[in-house]
Amino acid sequence: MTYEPPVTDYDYIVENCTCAFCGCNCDDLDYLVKNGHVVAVRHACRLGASKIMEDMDQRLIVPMIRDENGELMEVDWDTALDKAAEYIANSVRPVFYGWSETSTECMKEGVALGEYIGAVLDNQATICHGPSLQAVQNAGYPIQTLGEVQNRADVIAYSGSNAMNSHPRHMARYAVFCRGYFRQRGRFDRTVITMDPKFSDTAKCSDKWIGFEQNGDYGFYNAIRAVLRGKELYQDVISGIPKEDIYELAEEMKNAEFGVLFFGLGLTHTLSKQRNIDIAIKMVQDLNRFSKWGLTPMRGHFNVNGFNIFMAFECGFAFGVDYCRGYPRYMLGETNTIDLLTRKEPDCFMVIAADPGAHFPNGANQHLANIPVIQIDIHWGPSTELADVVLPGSFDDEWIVRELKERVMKLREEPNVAPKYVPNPNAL
Amino acid sequence: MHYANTYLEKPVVPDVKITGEGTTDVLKCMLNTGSDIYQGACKKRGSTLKEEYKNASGTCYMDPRDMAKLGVNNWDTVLVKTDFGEVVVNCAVSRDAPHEGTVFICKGPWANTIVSHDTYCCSDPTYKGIRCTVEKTDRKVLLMADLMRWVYKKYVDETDDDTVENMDSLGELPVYKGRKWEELIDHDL
Ligand code: SF4
Repeated sequence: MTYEPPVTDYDYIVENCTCAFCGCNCDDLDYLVKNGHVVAVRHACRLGASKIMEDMDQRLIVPMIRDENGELMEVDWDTALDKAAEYIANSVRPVFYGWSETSTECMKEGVALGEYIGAVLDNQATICHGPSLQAVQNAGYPIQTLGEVQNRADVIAYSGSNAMNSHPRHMARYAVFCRGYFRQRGRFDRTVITMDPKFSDTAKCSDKWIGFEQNGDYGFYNAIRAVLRGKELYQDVISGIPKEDIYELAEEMKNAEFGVLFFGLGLTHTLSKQRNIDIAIKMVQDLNRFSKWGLTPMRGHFNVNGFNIFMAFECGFAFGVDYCRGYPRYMLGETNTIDLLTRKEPDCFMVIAADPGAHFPNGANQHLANIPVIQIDIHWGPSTELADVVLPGSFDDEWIVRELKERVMKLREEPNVAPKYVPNPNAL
Repeated sequence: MHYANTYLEKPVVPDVKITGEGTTDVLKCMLNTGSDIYQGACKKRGSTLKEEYKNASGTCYMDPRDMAKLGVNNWDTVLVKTDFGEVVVNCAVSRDAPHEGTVFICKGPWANTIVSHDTYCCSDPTYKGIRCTVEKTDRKVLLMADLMRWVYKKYVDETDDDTVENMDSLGELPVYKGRKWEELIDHDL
């Protein structure tokens, strides 16, 4: 790694900006500005800094559509928006996916468009913390704020989450190293436990690493629960962990003054999916018989939870909301993007502030090669390679979606483009 | 003007020399995917067409003992196969070793080619804990744009994998018709 001298040549500093990368949403970044351009950023981690000091080579600046040779061609906004609106207006089962890296105002326009056209609205939760949302519906949500963690927590457990890599300032600023009202000595007043099959960077900073075997999370949490409830373990080794260690861990967790469990995608992406989170939530509930415990999912994008809360507020469901019958419907494994794509149902796909090209499994993405894809994004990414219309977004995403909505409404109201699918009132 | 820079050509990996010719051709492993800080930084900076993303995301992190069994060293290429597909990636010594029998590929177009799309009705595909085989190969790791073309073939007429794999590279900069990117943005404003 080469040494980078600090940037000293700047006009002024803008203090206390919010980072729009990960779910920590750090709000203490300082931007160094010269000639109206951000030349450097202070306090951000590597991830936050890379988002702010972006790659201008790949920044999308002009709208583009594919010509008949399959090559992207630069066009003006009107043409691009008309083309996108045409795709949406002529579709029977459109899916609008993304929303996690854009503003809530934009989501509002998106819901209006989705409701009008009968689309499925889904966000990145469907491929990351979807199972957590289901588990919360199953088992409850014993949550606390990060302020409480900073001021009170003395046992921090990370499970299936590599905070040092995906939320790099989480340990430093919110949970472990920071000092708090009742934790004056910071790190020395806290015990950190990492439960992860991998000896991850977070595990390296922890006091204790529990390396249960792959797909062993469900059995492991059940064993802790059994111990917490005073039962005896009959097997000597459970999920690759000797039973003595499980007794010791349960004792340590019971004796916490204030404990917190942070869990990540390690739990949601393995075989037992939401059952893992179910059991982790129930474990936290059991621990509350002895001491005060809470939990927090480590959400990825800065506004991914925003979309879930917004949708739950607007239509009652957190993600994967299907408007095709004119009213919101939600059915796991039915109205979620990956399931829809693997069943080859959608006939138009709009990606906004997301990157399915980089994050969806091949089996789902294959269908994107058969249907028109509209991309609203700031960078040329893997999804651009599959996109038929590319609309450069940024903080005017809201305007783009509103424009699309108006154009789609106009097209649908023309007599010759009547909707192909009319909701059937007898469908139920 | 001096901009702060976070570009890094390759992730930092333990500088271990693997000795041994390799005792096996095909290694059976468990595949894990997920994010790490190099991949995350490169993706969110938007450098996805670049060599940097290929190295950050298209790299299979292995236990050094597994690498010795195959007889590969840091930044050699390996072919990873699962029930869902196959992909050529670099290999490197894992920073989290030891984890013999498990390999880790950061999420991205390379990993997507081989992970399972089964959601078991839970909305979430199975990205972790997939059985795979790893073998040594001479094939090249494709850049992002070339890989997308090879896997999805949306805008090529060819259907043959090998032909598409050996087509001219789309390169590390956006390819489109119109004004050139350099005219639109001025790096040294
Ligand atoms: S921890 Fe997250 S929110 Fe904070 S600076 Fe890093 S990327 Fe941004």
